[in-house]
Amino acid sequence: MRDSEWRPLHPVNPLTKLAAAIVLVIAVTVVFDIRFQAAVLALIVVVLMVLEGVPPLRLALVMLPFALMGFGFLWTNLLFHEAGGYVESLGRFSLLRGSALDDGIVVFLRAVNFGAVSYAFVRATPPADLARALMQNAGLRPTVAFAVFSVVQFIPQLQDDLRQLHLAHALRAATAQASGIRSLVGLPRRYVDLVIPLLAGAVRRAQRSAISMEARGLTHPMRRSFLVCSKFGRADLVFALASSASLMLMIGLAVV
Amino acid sequence: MDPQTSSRAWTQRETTVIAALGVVFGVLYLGWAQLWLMLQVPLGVIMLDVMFGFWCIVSIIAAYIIRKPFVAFGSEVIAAIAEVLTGHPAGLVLLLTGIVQGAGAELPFALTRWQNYSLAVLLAAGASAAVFSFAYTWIRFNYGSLSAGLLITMFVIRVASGMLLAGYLGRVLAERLHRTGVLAGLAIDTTSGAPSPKRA
Repeated sequence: MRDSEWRPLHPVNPLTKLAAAIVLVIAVTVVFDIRFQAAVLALIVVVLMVLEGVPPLRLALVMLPFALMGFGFLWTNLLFHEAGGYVESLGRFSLLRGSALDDGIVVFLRAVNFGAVSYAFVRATPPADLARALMQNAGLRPTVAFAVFSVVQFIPQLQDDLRQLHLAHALRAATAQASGIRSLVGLPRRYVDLVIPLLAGAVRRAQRSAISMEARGLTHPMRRSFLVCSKFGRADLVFALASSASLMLMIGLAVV
Repeated sequence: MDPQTSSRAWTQRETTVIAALGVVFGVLYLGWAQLWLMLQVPLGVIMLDVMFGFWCIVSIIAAYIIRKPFVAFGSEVIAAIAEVLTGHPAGLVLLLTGIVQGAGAELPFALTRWQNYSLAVLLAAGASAAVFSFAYTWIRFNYGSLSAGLLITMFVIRVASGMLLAGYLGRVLAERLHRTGVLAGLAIDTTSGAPSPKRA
């Protein structure tokens, strides 16, 4: 996790936050209305800045890729728009049907909102808490959870491996220089040459990790005890009620 | 094949190998997404279809290596979970995407009762992932408002990308990985017809 500082959303069970985020993502997908999409974005920005303490500049940087994605959809809608179809099928939620610019803006906001909801969930949920909640409350097999957790630890090593492979390839390229077109044609091959050792290293480490997990009896079916228990409490109730009320209010904005 | 690996349940070793493939491709997917974003701004949504196949390659590679039920689905979901656990901002959305694409890739293997891992089935898995993904992005990005001609072009390109970048390239990478010898003892190694690895 990025920091160990206490945040208001951290005591909420990760599964409650996950459910709320999924419901919001579904709502963002279904409700095709500018006011609703703008309200969701405003809500998430407030949550991130006030409750999670994300600085505005950092938030803008995180949202930039989603905005770029949304921009691609915006101009495609402007150039290749065809009235009717899905937007019309949403009936009264579609207040601005038919206009290429309006449809494009909604799709742009939707792309940004997907990213914003996703980032808010990731930011408010320590990974270890999520894995623990999935194991204790959602039936995720510990063998899978521990396997994923153990290989996630390899990521810094993967970055080192990648750096070394790039250096090795750069050295080889310096001794065998290819012309422009030959260099371009050889690009997929060089890519495969880079990926295979990376994968081989990760698989080798994973297998060593699996053997050590088996040696410690992880695969044995038994009732497990956890040092930290993942529970549902009053914070979950408050969070669920607040989320539902906000969602109803925002949907009301689109309907009225 | 030993009794443990002949069972349809994943062993700890297989689970960890699937997780490792998922995590490595989770990282590679991010690099691919950056390239896509750069190209998407000037070239539009069609770049998603051109580049799509690579985003479900791990399901093909893992299924081809392990050859057990739900490996294609599981590996794609694990790649997405890894992105959530590493704190990637788009993690949660990628989880939904992973579920849809993984289910699409799994379908052809399930139709063969997880018995056939020929190139034709791998290409079908890539194409199926593309079809599932197209339906998902249709809803997510409101494709219904785009012209029919563009939509048909996008669909054809996406299926072709799924077959080429996921199905075909997935098999090439899995076989190259097999030749390194690190997959010794896994289904790709014990099933007849697979190329034999170089052993030290």
